[in-house]
Amino acid sequence: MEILPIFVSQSNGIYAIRQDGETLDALEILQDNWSNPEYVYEFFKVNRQLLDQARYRDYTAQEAAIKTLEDAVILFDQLEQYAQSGFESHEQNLSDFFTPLHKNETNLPPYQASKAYGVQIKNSWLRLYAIRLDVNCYIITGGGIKLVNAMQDVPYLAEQLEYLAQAQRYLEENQVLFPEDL
Amino acid sequence: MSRPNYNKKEFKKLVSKTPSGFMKRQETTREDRKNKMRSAKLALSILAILDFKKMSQVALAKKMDVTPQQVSKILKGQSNFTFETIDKLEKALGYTVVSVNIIDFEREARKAEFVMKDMTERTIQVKTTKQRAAEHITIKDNFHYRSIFEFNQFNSLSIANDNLRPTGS
Repeated sequence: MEILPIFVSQSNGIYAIRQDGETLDALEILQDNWSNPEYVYEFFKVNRQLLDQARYRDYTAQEAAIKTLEDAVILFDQLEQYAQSGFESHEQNLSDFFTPLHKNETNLPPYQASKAYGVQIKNSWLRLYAIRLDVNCYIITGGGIKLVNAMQDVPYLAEQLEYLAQAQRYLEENQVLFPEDL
Repeated sequence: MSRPNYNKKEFKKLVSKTPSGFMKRQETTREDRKNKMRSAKLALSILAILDFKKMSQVALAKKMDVTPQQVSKILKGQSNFTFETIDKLEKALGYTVVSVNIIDFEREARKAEFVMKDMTERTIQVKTTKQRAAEHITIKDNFHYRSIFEFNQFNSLSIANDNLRPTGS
């Protein structure tokens, strides 16, 4: 496992994880997949039944594919914007973009698992998953097209949970957090 | 707020020196984004037709007389089409997948003129409900207000008459 910097300014930044044996990091893989019509079409063909839920019933597989392609562009643009606007301003920081993965988490656990689904994207099912180190320091472990309520429901999102846990273990082993903060 | 609560030194050791290609890709794709989205949508249509016809990509390549790599490039939304390829594609699929918008300002102007003429000829007068109701009401000359109910005991007229009645002598 390797941590690649995406955008770094001073001690803050966005990073992405590259799994062993991969040539691309997690974010690059998403960037490739979510702009590839063949991949998106196959995804909705295989997971057609997930679209039958009340929330997404209006979408045909084709429309869902187009929406995915379009939303992905917006999502990545927003991430880029957040990165480039710098991390010094108090008004806009990465903690607005990324929210805790578990809604009811009141305390701030070390290596908090986080997610991002873009700002004001209607019915967005695209998710980025990341580990929080600081207000403006996030490590992206992966992402997915989330059409179910719980991530455990489908294997491809359960895999993402595993990636998050893996990254947490990796950081823990290397003692990135200060002991007094634990 | 921005106090780092993590060990920067330890973390820096973990971070690789080669940066992620994300930002670079964003920059390179920004310019031809509209183009990419268009060819992606076309690719989705082609994929749908192939599925509907139960046709493989290789068969499409054969029909189009191009290499399978070129077809795969089209389906990944990376192809830059010429009219010739579009023609081949449409012949092979049996569907029209690309159409050209004809820009004709004269026709547009004529359409607008026709609509304006039509609108002025019809001249629909919009009336409020009150105006419409007023059409059905005719006020007679001998109209005067009269209370529907008569309350003798509170009738002010009768009281007044009582008061005006001469008292005594």
